[in-house]
Amino acid sequence: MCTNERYPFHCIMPPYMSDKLDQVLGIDTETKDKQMRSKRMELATMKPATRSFTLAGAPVNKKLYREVYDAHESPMDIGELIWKEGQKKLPALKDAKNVISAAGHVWNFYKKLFNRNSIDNKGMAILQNIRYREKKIMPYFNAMWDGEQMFYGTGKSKFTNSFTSDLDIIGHELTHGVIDFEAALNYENQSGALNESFSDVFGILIKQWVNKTSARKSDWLIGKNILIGKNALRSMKAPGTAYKNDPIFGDDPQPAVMADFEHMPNTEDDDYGGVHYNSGISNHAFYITAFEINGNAWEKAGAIWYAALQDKQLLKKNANFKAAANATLKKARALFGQGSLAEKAVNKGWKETGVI
Amino acid sequence: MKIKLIQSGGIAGKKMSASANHKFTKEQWDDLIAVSKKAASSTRSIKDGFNYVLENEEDENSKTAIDIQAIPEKYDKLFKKLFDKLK
Repeated sequence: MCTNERYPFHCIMPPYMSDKLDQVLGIDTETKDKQMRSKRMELATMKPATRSFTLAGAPVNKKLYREVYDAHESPMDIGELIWKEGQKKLPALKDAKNVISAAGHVWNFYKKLFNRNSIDNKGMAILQNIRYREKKIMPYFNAMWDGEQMFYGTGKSKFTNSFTSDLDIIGHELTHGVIDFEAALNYENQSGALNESFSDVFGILIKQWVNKTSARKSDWLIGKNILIGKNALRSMKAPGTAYKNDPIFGDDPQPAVMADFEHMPNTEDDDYGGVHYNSGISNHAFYITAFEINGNAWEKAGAIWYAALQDKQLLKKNANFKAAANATLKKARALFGQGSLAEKAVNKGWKETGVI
Repeated sequence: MKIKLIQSGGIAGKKMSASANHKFTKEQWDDLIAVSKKAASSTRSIKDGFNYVLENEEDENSKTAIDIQAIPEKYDKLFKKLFDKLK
């Protein structure tokens, strides 16, 4: 029986049967894929408010609501609903268990600390697709947010674990959703690097909050479980040192300070101006802030960064690092007082990274 | 023809590339680019997705941002080889 309520045509029959039917009906796979991609692009380029409406079409959830889809190691058009909120029995797949648990932590983090009701603050359902591939022929070494839902690749190899292995990665991806509904930072150049950085900040904070790890005890590593061995995807404490001679990724290219800012073209082959490279600078500013404040990073440093993210006047869509520094300094003063330890710590963070 | 696949973005954000020789006629190459060319700015709302660029290394003006899912299945072998070599 089909259990995919969102895309019933995805699972009405097994893929090999639907492929056969498509052949009989004269619908080729490429056309079908194109239609799916086109729909996805349409959704991805809609304004958040419109997307929310599109997504929901359902009553606002006042409580956590999650759904998990299994893409069966294929592109998304054959995703199958394998679990939804309320089902007591968890799926057998470890990836499914990982994303269910992590999305619960993410939702609780935002609710308990910031009284935020899910990604859009209106109870948006958290939809997650596991075992996703862009092409059937290749494992997907990635996790992404497409503007309305999450996609995780198994990406297992002798060098990598599944991309559902890290709570901070899942927190990072879902925070991209939160950002879409708040500052909506443009995904290019410095605003794109800030988009990446805010996602890392809340990703690591969610992990620290769940594990009750203080700022000075945290390793500040993002994606520690994904790469097998000692490597991680990013270090907020020491950007540029998360991996070295990694068999897949080589050496970590992230700068920690403005003097090493990577000036990259705003093109597809340069990650829209190096958004994943230069995020190291603002990541490091946050780390210094949290370290200086001491205690639990989510309590003060996290509150400051969250308040800044919510202020669309201070943090405009095309904000640069200086604008982020200004926004967080203003929020530190507003929340903890002029001349407070928090304000001094924020100032130190942006100064030591050369942003101000 | 020597073609190059460039991948950037992804949660890891590391730029990687791979090259391979393949016998393309000009028409075949043009067709491949035509069916896979990505619409301008169509995926910037996708966060941490991979970005792909295809290039004919003998023509420096041939760099084209592509939608990897639009690559026809008949090129699976070639693209599998390129994916496996990405570094």
